[in-house]
Amino acid sequence: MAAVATGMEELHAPRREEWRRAWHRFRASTLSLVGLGIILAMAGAAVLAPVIAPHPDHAGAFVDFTNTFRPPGRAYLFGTDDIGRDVLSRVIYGARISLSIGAVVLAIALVIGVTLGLIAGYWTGWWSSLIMRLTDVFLAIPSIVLALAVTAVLKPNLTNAMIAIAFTWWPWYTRLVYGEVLSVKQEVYVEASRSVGASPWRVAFREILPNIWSPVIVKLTLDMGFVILVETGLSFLGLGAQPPTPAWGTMIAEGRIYMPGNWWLATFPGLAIFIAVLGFNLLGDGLRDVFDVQIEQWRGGA
Amino acid sequence: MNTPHPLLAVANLVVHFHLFEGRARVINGIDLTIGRGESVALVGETGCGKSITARAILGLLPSNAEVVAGRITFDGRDLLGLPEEEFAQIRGRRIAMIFQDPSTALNPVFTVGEQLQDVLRYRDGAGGDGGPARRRERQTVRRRCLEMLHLVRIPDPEGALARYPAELSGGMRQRVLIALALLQRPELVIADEIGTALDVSIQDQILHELRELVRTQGTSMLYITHNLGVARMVSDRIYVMYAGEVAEVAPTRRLFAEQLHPYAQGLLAAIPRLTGTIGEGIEGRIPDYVAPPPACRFEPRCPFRMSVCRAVRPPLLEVEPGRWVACHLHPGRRA
Amino acid sequence: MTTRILLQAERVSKVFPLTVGLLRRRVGEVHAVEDVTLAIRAGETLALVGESGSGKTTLAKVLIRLLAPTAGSICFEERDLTRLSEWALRPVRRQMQIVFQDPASSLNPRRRVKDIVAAPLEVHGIGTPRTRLRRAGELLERVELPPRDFMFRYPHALSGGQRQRVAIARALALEPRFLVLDEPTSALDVSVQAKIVGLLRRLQRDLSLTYLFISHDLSLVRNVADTIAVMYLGKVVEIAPTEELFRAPGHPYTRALLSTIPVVDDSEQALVPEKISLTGEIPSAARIPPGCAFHPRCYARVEGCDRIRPDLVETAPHHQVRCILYDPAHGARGLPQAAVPEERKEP
Repeated sequence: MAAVATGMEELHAPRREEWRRAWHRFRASTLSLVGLGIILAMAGAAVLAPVIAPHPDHAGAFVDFTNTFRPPGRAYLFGTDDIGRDVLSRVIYGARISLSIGAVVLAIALVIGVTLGLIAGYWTGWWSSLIMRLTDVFLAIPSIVLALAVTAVLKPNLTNAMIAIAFTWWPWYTRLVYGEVLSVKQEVYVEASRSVGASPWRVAFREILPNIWSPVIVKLTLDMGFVILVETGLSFLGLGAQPPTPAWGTMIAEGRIYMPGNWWLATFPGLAIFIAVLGFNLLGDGLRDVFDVQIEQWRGGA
Repeated sequence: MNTPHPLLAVANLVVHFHLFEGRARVINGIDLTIGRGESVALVGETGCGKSITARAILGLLPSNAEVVAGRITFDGRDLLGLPEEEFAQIRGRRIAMIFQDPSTALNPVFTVGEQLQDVLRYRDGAGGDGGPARRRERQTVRRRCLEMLHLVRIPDPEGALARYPAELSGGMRQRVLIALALLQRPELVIADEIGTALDVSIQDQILHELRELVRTQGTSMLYITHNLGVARMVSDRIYVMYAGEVAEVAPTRRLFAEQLHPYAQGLLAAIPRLTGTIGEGIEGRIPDYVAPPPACRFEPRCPFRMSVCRAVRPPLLEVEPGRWVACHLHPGRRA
Repeated sequence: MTTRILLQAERVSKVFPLTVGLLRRRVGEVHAVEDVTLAIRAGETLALVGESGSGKTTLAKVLIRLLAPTAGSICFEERDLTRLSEWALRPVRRQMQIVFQDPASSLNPRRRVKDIVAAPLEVHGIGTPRTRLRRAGELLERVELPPRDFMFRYPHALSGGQRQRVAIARALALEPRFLVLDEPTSALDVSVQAKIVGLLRRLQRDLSLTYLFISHDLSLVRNVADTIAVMYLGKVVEIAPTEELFRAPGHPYTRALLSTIPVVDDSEQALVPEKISLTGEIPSAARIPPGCAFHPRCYARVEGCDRIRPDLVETAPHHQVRCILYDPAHGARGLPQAAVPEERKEP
């Protein structure tokens, strides 16, 4: 099977080529690179938290009343809070929480939203209208309000906050995927697949789905920032992460009352949120620009 | 070239594109002239660069294109060095373009009348502050639009003015596009593959009407097409283009009677005949513009290639009056 | 010739309802195909010729049951396909495949050539991934694309001609007997078209294929078809063996179409009727004119054309025309001009 054997290296060649080209386009925008840098740094911090945080145990239940309210200095880069915990370490661990919340929420929203969107878009019928009307209902309610309602019913903790947010987030993906499926459905290669005898499931998942990933990925990236913001809001209101969990929102809630004197308690978590959201936005915009140049630019043809 | 006082003269135009893969040497030295009142066809297959040439004339090249060399002279003025404000005066007014796809070239949210009148109002600078002068001006504009619609054989021009593009058939839309182009009485009209999106009988109608119209108004035409049959119908002279270069130039009838360049021969042979024969096509593909053949660009595909074809680029030489070929098989009269 | 009939369409019609609003109120109908009877013999090439609104593509899709006919019947190898369910049709689908017009959009841009070509095999659960890969290689060789170069490419890295070859390879994957070619070369340059036509010819010969060739290009059709059916607004207005159609076109529309063929060789002038310019536009298929659908644009119109709907009448062996002028009940005068074309005026 000489043809098959040599094929395998060639399998990777075009794929590498694609990645290289996409990277080249991405690289062209400095801001996108900044965004990517921020996210990578954040992810690195989250993963390596136990290693790089100067006082990892401060992230949990820890009290040291001899060290309270130390301003930012050499020993404690971001200072200490009202019960003596190192703010820097807590901010680093907070990255872990924010990223994992974002990932879990969006994973749930993605699976539910994309599946429903695919079904509603590809199979026309009364259930398609039903799904979309249901989506409309959920979209009409502001996410914070819905999240509040859900957490009011369930106990306020981080897990329930995640469920609540996911609950409000999936409709956006349904709507996005629905629109994309409607337009891709018209493409000739979909018809070609049908003409071969492919079942609707195969057509939906193997022909249509690969062609609608780009806007979904862009949206996922941008959404990470927004999910973090919503979670921050919930934690701030006391409905999300409970103390002593070092979620940024909780830290702001706790540190707020000490403003402006002991400003570092609330400011550093706030800055972290700002940078994280900014990073995801920049990255998402960069990705969108890369994906938008789908059509091969002038390639030896006029 | 050989047209005295041509309206448009392209001399040794070289255009490169900056791609991810490198520098694509797309247009590799093109010479083209169009005389006043002359209809010229630029014929070539996909990827030969004919549309790029048209865009270069109009100053509409994309941002990653670079005009490396050459001159484009319109009525004595050099277009390539022209600043954008001055170019905007020429584009649309003295040189107009008719686009290929009538369904996308018209704005769907404006009526035909609005789009036509817009062109005139922009040209004449719709100023004034209302009152009878303004009304008279509007009436003049409207009358002019109606005349033009009548000229392109749109039935019921009055009604057409009030319609939206979506309400018109493909053929009607194409006629509106022609009207739009001719409205300002340009001296040169560039038609980019018009009619290819239409049915054969409609395309036939429109091309004949356009040719008549252009003849009576004395407008020069540059037809860009990949269809030799269309070129034969509408042009006085044909430029055959291959891979960014001019392969052959000839008066229309002469070209169909006898082709000198092997590419032109291959093209004509590939056309299905009514006698029931169809050629074999031409072996190979258009070259990669990033790494094109060093000398003759057609050499890899040429059934008559010689060793010199790989070494020296054949210059475009006149082999008889009005007939030019770029091929080592035809050394030419004047070097 | 007594080759057996592979596909028989009997009085096939396809009507699309026009609906408005949420409740899908029916406000009209589009008669895309009306009362078409056709027989396609094994190994031959039948061409469907017509302009937009003629229904040729719809008819082709109905014939291979991508669409269900509203009326009439379709028999493939003497098996009635008309009322079969999707599931029952699946094995039959292997016998009939279609190659679409625009190669750029008929290939999934996110799949590699090898996956595109092997997809039909995968859909029908044939073979293992390894054997499918091998078969994909074989198919690519058959369409004259070296597998090593092309297996792993994406469609955007292919030229128009190469993409169309991939589409043909895909259509051949299930070893069909019948291939619908929907304007397979319209989107290609003329030199590439010539190569693809050559390929299609060789494939037909080597694999004993039967073709339904849809096109608007009459000179192309002259070169590939054994029989030509001319369609106008959903009806077959003329059907004849190729040479016969060109030699003695009967229907006024056929004559007009033939006269628009751009002639590139002076010697061919005599083969084409004198130039006829049709007036008006092609009406929408939702508002087909009464009587003979062509009558508003017909230059040979007579009294009664706007009321009477003519049937197909045999004017010569295997040659049928749908026009009142050939109907024996109305005198069977034929067209006023001679069937032998006169000299064409220069443009």
